Amino acid sequence: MLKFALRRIGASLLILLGTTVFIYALLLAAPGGPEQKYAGNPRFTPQQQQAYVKALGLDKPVPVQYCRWLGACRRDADGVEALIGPTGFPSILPSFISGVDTGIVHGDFGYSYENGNAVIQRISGALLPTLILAGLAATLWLTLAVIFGVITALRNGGLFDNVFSVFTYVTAAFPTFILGFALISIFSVWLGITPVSGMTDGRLSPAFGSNEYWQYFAYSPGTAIADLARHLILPVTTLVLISVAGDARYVRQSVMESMGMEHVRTARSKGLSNLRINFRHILRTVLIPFATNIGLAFPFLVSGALITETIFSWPGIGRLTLIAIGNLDYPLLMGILSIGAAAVAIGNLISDLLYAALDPRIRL
Amino acid sequence: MSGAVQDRLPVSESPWQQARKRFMQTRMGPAGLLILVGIFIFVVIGSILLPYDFYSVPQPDEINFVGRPPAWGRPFGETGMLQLDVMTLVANGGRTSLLIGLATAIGSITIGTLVGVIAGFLGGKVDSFLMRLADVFLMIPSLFVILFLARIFQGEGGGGAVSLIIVFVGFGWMGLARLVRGQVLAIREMEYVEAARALGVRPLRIALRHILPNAIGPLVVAAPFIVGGAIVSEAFISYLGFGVNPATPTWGNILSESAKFLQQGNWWWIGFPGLFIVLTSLSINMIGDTLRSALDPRGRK
Repeated sequence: MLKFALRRIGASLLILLGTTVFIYALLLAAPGGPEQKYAGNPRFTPQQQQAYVKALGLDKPVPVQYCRWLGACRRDADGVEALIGPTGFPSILPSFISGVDTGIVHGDFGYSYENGNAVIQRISGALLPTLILAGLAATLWLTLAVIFGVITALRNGGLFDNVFSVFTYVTAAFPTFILGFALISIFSVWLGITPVSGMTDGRLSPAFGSNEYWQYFAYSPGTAIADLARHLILPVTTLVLISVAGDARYVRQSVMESMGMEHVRTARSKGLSNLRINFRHILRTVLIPFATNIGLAFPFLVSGALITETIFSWPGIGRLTLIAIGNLDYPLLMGILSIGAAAVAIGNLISDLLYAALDPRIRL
Repeated sequence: MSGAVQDRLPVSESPWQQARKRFMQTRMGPAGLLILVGIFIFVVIGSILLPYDFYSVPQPDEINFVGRPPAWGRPFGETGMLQLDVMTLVANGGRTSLLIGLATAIGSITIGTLVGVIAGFLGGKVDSFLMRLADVFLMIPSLFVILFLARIFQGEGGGGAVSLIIVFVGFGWMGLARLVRGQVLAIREMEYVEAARALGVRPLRIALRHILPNAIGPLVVAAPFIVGGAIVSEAFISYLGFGVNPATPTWGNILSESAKFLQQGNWWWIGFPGLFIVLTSLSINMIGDTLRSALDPRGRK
């Protein structure tokens, strides 16, 4: 098991390294860039521009620039020495060992072009709204998926099964943003019972995440949570409606398969009650692969709610990404892409390891 | 040559004929086909009868943001701002949207098949390089990169449909390449391929003649979903303003304008293009799902 885990972690790191190369190459090939930031300013003299380029290290060859961005090279040294930190350990190791604190592996993603804030600060500020929205939605839809999947499988061909399969079909055809428009049109504009967008009511509370907001939250937690809950209704409904059908189908399929398995037949022939068979013998076999699939939903928690966040102006990672793309804010974009890729890799890894831990046949 | 023997055998159908029969026997498949053909006819006839040129639209004399709801003569209602007929926009927009969907499917399938066949057939280093490349492409959330590339290629106000198609194809081939590679690897070891190799058939001919025709089943199933996915992606990207230039109507561009006035209750302006996207996507899912079960060898009698 340990050998399998180590091999799997090694492979993930390699793919992740490839991904950072890809991200770097993509953004390198894109037009614009740090040296063009002030290019339109007539007071920016060529001497100043040269000094700027030198200060940022843009006069170095591209591999060196990449190595510095990644954090495998120190910024204050050249050549092979840059690979070794001031403490004598390789620069790529965590900063308390290597003494190097620049580069993305040490959490230094640079500064946003848009407002000069540290990229890591902007990303961490957007992380909580995304985790609230996507976490709540994921909990809800996974629970509903198990419930609906089991019911439709046990009552195969019944009324609920048929109604649910029509529902599955219709939601699968609905693009997320059109579903969002439809929900806003019906519940916010026509019926007027939910807010149209945003995370808090601007007339009542400060912007989410600011210091003022937490003071307000501490002062009247009841109102703050109620306000948040009202704003959560439509985005969470959108995410749940879009995602529940696919997972419920998956659960239904595996319940159907396990109903024909031998241990279930044995249990039935022993005369166990239906309830006991359903919960102890069927649900267990179904939940193991399902639990491992949750690891695959992990990247979604960080990045996947992009469309929903945009429609509902939810101040999370997805909307931050769109802002970064719109402004061609390269440091911010590279930070988001790298963290997103790491989230995908970690999610895949967790799901693989969990699967191997639960099912010994996988470890080959 | 062996006609005498074949005459005595019962008339057998090719796998494709069987699949078509099974497809037409379902309720879903033909229904989806009917909806899709209906949308096609509406778009083609509509864009011929109701031509639209952004640059010859007259300036309206009154300012009206919300537009007018459906009425006689304008069954889909009227937009705000320039007060255009929504039906004209939907028909003309559908033409661009459907073209983007079809072109993306053709492009992705061509490149995906090429990469998949090369990787599966040559094997070794080429195979592992191409598949690691696909891994890296799959690792990055593709929507992010598609949006980014669209923003770069299209500029601030949106660009042409062609560069959007290139971006979609660039990020649409990986899944297909894996699919084709898997098929090729499985078929390559089959006895009839071995027989062909033993007879001295050239590798290229084996790849094109013996392996490829048997590997395209999953591609036929995947094709409708790519068309649908591209139409939806185009709509979303254009809605964000990174897609096709707003002067060219697409379903996404119409939504991009109307969503600004969503809170004023303009359901017809946002509803009809939305309905067409949903109907297209629904019919494509119906066709794709039916094709999948029709082409599944386990479903054969």
